[in-house]
Amino acid sequence: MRTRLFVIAVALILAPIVLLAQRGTRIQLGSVLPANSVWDKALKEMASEWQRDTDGRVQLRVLPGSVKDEGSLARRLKAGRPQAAVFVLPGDIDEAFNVLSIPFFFESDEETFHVVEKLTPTFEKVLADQGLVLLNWGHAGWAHFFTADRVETFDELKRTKVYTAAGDEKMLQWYKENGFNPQPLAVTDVLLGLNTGLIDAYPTAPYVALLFQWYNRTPYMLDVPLTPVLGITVVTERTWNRVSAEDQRALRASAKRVEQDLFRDVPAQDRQAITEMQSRGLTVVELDDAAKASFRTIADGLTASWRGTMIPADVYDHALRERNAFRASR
Amino acid sequence: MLAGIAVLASGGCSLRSMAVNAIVPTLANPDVYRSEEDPELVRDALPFLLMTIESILDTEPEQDQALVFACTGFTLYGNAFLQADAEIAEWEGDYDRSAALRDRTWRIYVRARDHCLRSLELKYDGITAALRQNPASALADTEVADVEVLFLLGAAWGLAISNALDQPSLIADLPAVRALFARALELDEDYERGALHSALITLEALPAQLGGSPERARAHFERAVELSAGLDASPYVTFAAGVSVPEENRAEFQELLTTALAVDPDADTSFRLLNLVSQRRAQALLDQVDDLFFDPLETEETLP
Repeated sequence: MRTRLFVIAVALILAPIVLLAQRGTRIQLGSVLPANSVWDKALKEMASEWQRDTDGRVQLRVLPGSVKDEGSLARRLKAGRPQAAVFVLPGDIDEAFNVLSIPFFFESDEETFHVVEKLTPTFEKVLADQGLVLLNWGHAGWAHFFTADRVETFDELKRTKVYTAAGDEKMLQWYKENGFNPQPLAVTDVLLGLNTGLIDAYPTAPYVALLFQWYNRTPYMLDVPLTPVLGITVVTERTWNRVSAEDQRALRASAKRVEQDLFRDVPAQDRQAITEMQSRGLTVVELDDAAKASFRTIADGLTASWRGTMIPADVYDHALRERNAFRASR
Repeated sequence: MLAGIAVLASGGCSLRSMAVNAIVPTLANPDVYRSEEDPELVRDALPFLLMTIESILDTEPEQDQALVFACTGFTLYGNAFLQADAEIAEWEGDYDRSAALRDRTWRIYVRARDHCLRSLELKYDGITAALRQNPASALADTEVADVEVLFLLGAAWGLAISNALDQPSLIADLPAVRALFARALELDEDYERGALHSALITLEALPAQLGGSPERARAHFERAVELSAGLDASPYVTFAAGVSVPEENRAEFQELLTTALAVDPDADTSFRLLNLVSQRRAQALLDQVDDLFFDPLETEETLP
């Protein structure tokens, strides 16, 4: 009888704990992404999948445009709210991610995916050091140079008044040391800079040039892909550890599906954006293979200095090794 | 014989046109809808009416009153019901439902836009193409009598874009939307007691990269409230959702929405339907306040 009472008592004590666990994990995901964009829609599809695949044990709330900028988002993430985030510029979190932004370093999505896959343990480690778990990659398109005057050579590119992000002193310095004419501006001032002639060139993905209407002032797009723009989705380790191993697998599988969707849909969206801009006066400056190769060779020489300054040397070396191995295998 | 049939047929067309011209003003009276006290009745009634109007347009494609009403009605239906339902589903975390509604929403706005464009084309041949190439000069000849269509077209087009930022063919037309509102404002600044200013809050609440400005949004908000004498709840809701959220100003957000909820829908019947819809949005937004705003950083626990 005494034993039975004890069991009942334990059951009563445990009941609130069990009920608490059954309430599930609620995760808020912040970003600066615009609502109703392809990225926002993909994240909301992921949220629906998470809920379905875990029978409601994990609920993801997607909050687009919930913060002013990614700096504020990073600080809030470390403070615990939101518990997950998308960063379009992960290089601001850790310089290791800059390896994915080296100008003219990658030639194709396939090459990029290969290097990303090989370097993922490195990225996971630098994020883990900050209490974050990498969920997936997001494709934001390939940056191209948009220019007010026709540009076909590296020297012509150097003569442009090119936009660079204000506050990124290392990038500004690199531009200057290599004979460019960089103009540091807040991204919110790019349109003003174009209208006033302060800048006449900038690198961005075609969709962004269309969305922000920057292309109206820069009617030439150099058809040599500069760099892929890759974002990351992360969740805080503390929140992630509340999710069971089984549910974690389901969430990762869903996040991977979303990643694959974006890698399929975003390039298509960029192609549509280029078509739309062309119908409104944009000229795509196409170069032959020799001219493209020349761009890449010159860029390789110039960006070697990123090693150890803008990118940890071991990460740079690893990426270069994997990229060259991929090319050799083709 | 053939000539006789042709005359009869022609007479039939004229009779039909006369009948249509007689019935459209009775059918297509937006004031009846705007003053309705039961939004659900409007939700149920509008689709049938809009399909009827489109049937009329199928036979009388240049019936301007029907074109303008179709533009008004589809925009109203999209905004008051489809978009509002999509937003509320999203705030409640029902993303599947929200996505399905969003998809319907932008298509309905595009339908509204096309009716408005056809109306403008009746008066300004080639204006659709001109709006896409050089919007400011395309509108140079428009006059005060056109402000209603300029406003409706800007609203339908802008709402279509904002609900479908994954459609490059739509977003390319954003300059046309800006030009439409700029021209309408220039022609009739206090149109419909602040309707233009109210719409411009949304446009100016866009990120600065898209040409938005929180300062200009605030100026439009204040003017919209002034012109409507505070009897229109929509500027409060639009500003709270569009500006207070990205500015992370929770106190202002709550104050604005509380003010919107306090507006008496019967005080001005011409705002009644839209006020009831705005108040539904306001309440849904207030219910989600803890998700829309994160705690102030200084009071938060930090990660290990």
